[in-house]
Formats: sequence, C-alpha cells, structure tokens
Amino acid sequence: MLAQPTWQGIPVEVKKDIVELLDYKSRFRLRVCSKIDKALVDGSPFHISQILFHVTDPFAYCFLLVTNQGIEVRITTNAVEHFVNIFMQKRSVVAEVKIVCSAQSWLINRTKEVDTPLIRLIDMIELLGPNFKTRTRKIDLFIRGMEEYYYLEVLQLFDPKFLESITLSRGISRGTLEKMTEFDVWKSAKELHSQFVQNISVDWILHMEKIVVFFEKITGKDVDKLIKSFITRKDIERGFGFQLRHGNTLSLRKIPCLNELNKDRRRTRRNYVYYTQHFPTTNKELFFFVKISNQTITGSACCASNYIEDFYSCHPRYHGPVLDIRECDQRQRTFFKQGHIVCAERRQRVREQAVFDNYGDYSQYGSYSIRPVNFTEKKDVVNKHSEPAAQAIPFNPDASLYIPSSPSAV
Amino acid sequence: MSVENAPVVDVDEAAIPVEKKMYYRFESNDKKEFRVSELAIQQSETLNRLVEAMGYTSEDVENKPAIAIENIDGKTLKLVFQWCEHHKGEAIPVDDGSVPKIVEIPEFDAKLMDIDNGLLFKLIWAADYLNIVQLLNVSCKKVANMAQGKTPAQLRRVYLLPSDEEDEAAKRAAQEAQDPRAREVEEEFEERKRQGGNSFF
Repeated sequence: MLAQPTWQGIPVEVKKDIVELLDYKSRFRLRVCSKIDKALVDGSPFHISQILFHVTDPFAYCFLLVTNQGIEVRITTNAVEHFVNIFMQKRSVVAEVKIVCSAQSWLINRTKEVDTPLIRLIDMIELLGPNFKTRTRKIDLFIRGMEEYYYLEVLQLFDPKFLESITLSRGISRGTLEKMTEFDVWKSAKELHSQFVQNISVDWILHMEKIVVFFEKITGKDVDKLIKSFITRKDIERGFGFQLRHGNTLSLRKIPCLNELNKDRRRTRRNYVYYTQHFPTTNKELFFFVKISNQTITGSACCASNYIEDFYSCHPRYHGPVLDIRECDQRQRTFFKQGHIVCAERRQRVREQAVFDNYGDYSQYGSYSIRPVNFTEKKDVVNKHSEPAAQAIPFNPDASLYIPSSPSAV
Repeated sequence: MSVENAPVVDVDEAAIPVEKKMYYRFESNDKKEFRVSELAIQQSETLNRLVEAMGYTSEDVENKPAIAIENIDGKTLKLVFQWCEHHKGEAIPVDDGSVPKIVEIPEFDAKLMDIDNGLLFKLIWAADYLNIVQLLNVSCKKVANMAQGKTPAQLRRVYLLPSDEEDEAAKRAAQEAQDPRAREVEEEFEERKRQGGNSFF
C-alpha cells in the first residue's frame, strides 16, 4: 500500500499522536470537522502541562486555564465540564492541577445550598462514580477562608496512584491537616511544598521524599526524627531531602543526632552562621548532608564523592561560596565565641511576630462540619434544592470552544 | 541504476571518523538508490532489524542488489535518510505515556520539513513505516503546529479533510463497487423499516 499524501492516508495511531500534540483549542476545532475526526479526537487522551481551575466569583464566575504545548487557553464557559472532560479519557496525563478559590469565603458555604463552581465540580466528579479518576502528578491548592473542608473534599478527587506532589499555597489549620493525612492521596504523596506557615507534625510527613515546609514550631527531636528517617530508608536516592523553615528558636544541643556524631562543624560567612554535617545512608554512594542555619534546616541526599558541591547543586537558591572548613574556622574565631553553637536568634522574634499576625486563627469561627466524599455509591440528586447534575449540566464542552468560520477567513 | 550513478545523501565529511564504515544501499519504489551509513540506519528500527537479519558484509553490500523499499518513493526516502544521517548516533526517545510529551523541532528538522503538505504526510507515513520514533515525533508536531489558530473550515483545507457528505459518498461508492446489490438490499431494508416491519426476513 502506498502512502496517500493526505490526512486520511496516514495510520490512525499516527493521527492519535498528532491529536495529542495539538493545542487545546485546535483539538476542538478538528473535532467538528467530520464524524471520523470527532471519534478520533474523543478517543485520544489529553497530554496537558497545567490546568488552573480558578473560582473568583462564588456564584457563577470561574475559569479554566489550560496550558498545553506551551499555549494557554482560557475557558470561561463550561469550565467545570471541560475539567471533567479532560479526565474522562483514561490515559489522559496532566502534569499539574492548580485549584484556586479566591472568592470570599463566607459566601461559599455548603449549608446555604449555593451551587458554586467548586461544589459543582466536586458533585459532578462524585456523580461519575468510583471509576472516574483525576490523574495528575502534582496538585496546588489555594482555597481561601475558613471553609477548610474544601481541602478535604478536593484532595479526595485525585487518584492516589498518580499523585506525587502536594503544594499548599495557604496556611491550613492543624485539625484539617490531620484529617488530610488520613487520605490515601496524602499517604502516597512523595513531595510536600508549603511556603506558608503550617502547624504540622513531623510524623505526618516522614514517608515523603521531598519536603519543603514552613513549620510553625519544630523541636530538636522532630529534626532528629526526620534526619533519621532519611538516613535509614532503603530506597534513598540522590535529591531526597527536606528544606524546613521554622517559626521558633531551635538550639543545636536539642538535636540528638548532631551531638552524637559531630562536635564542631560550624561555618561562618560574615555575620551568617551555619552548621553542617553529613551522615552515612543505607546507600554507600550517598551521604545525607544537613545544613542548619538561623532560618532553615536543609537536608539532602548527595553523592558521597563530592557531597558539598552536590548539595548546593540540589539547592540552587543558595548562591554563596562553598567555604573550606579551615577557612570557616578562622572566620569563626574572628566573629564568634568558641562553643557558642546556638543558631542565630536575634532576627527570630521579629520574624515570628510578622508572620503570625497575618496567619488567621480558624478556631475563632467555630467548628465546621466535614462532609466526606463518598465514592462508593452514585447519587441521583446533588442536594435537595438543585436538579440532578446530569440534567442540570449539559455535557457539551465543545460549545464554548467551537468558533464558526467566517467566509473571509477561508 | 549502477552503484556509481546512485544519488548519495549529503553527509558532513568532517564528521566522519577515519575508520572505515559500512554503507548500505537502499532502493525506493521509483528505482532511486541511496547509500546510508550503518550508524544512521540505527535510527530506524525496521531497517536496523532488516540489515541485522541479512548479515551483509561490506563485499555483500557492493555486490548484491540494493535493498528495495517498495512502499516509499525516492523524494520521501531522500528526506528520511537525510534526517537519519544528521541525527545518527543520537539516543532514541522512549515514550511511556506517563508525562506530557513535549516535542521541540530543531532548526535542521524545521528546514528539512519546509515542504508541501502532501510530501509532509508522506514523510510521516514513511517515518511510521520505518519506525523512526524521533522523526515521527517532529513531523507530527509540525502537522499539529499547522492547526494552530485555524478555524474548522481552514483545517479542512490544510489537512485536505473530506466533509461528512463526502465521506458517506465515498463509502457508498466503495460499497457499490464491491457489491452492486448491496445498495438495493439496503434500500429495501430501509423501506421495510419505515413500514414498521420487525424483521427483514
């Protein structure tokens, strides 16, 4: 058989490859070209870099920003349907899903029975049953206000087999975090990122491979536990580690593993003091290198042969020079007294004040009900005041994206 | 066509090491002959397996007739081998479908694929037939890029897509050519259905 120099002449598998490489809008335009192409597009999974589901108005307005092949498409109508439609294909791959709910929190309240986009999304996914999976590698959650049970509901929408990384873009109360840790999604996650202060226990994150968290309070025993969890794990790989910021004062004397193994490895750079130490791991080729400064505690599994250089290559934020130990000792004598091994304390009080003023105390609003998502049985009615979702929401994501051709354009 | 007169794919002479390499001869369906290095052939899984199975020595390559590739014409095959020579020795990408595929078209490939749509579709077909993964990726990406910002009507024109009516007409014509009675039977069936009959027989 000879190659036909048309779209029709190429094999279906190759056509599917092409459809997967199309940007989001072009997929829908190809879909309406003919019945054959409609079936082709519907049968091809999505390969999407990022989806942002952004709720700005609690009652109606939300948009979906789909980034695919470097092209952003903003969808303002049928955003919920588009979100669901992407994951309807079983082999669809989405690298990152961001859910941002910046609407005023007191207006989004399930008890008031307001059908908001976020509730509609949750209900619609629930309605699709347990076989529907939201497959993504990374999620980023920013849900504003005290309606924290949305974190719990949203987190349950994702497939724990695929999810690797959780990013919390807002401080969450300890009670909600504790409930989040009970979900499979949390238990199977390999990474946790949060630049916001979290009242989190170290025990909840010991299974993770990469941890970037701002602890409200951390003790020496917690740090010890965390370091030991990394150096004793069998599956340790280069790059595993943590970067912890903490809101309290931490003395090095209270970290048992440091006192046991290393007595004096302080380094200084001008008025900046930090303490470093490397630990052997279960893998002979890797050391676990820990750096403790007045702001952060960083630990990373690095190549044993050149662990200092490797550590700074794993943490590119640090741009300072890697000092030789002898040089450090000389500087240390100049600026600091011998035997003074407490991490710098002077900036701590200011920092603590500045951070915690902005951080809301959710307990002042009283208790809230947790509504667990039930995937086991299908529901006919979303809630008593709304219609069944299948009837209420026309599942036709094509309508918003289809742009009829003008005669002059052809 | 003799070996001496065969068109040779442009190869960067400076890039070739001094040691002697084996060059295989291939023939397209319009009897054009090409000499391609062993390393370049490794980009094509189909051809690589073929030459391995044949087990040619350097004398065999010169003495025996060129390996015929009957499904691909000379113009397309020239593009394919030019691409293989330029990318010889490069790792072949493996797509496990776990991460979104990001394909970037290098400058050389962009120039190579600056061709009419008909030839581009032939190139895709050839890359698929010869199992050249990276060439298939970049050519698919090129076709996908052609769709950017196009309306459905423009897409029909770019991809030469038939409409539903044309599709059905072509299907009917093919059916009639195969069995002239098929249409009569179908019409009779439709007529009976309209009359409310439960069964055709």
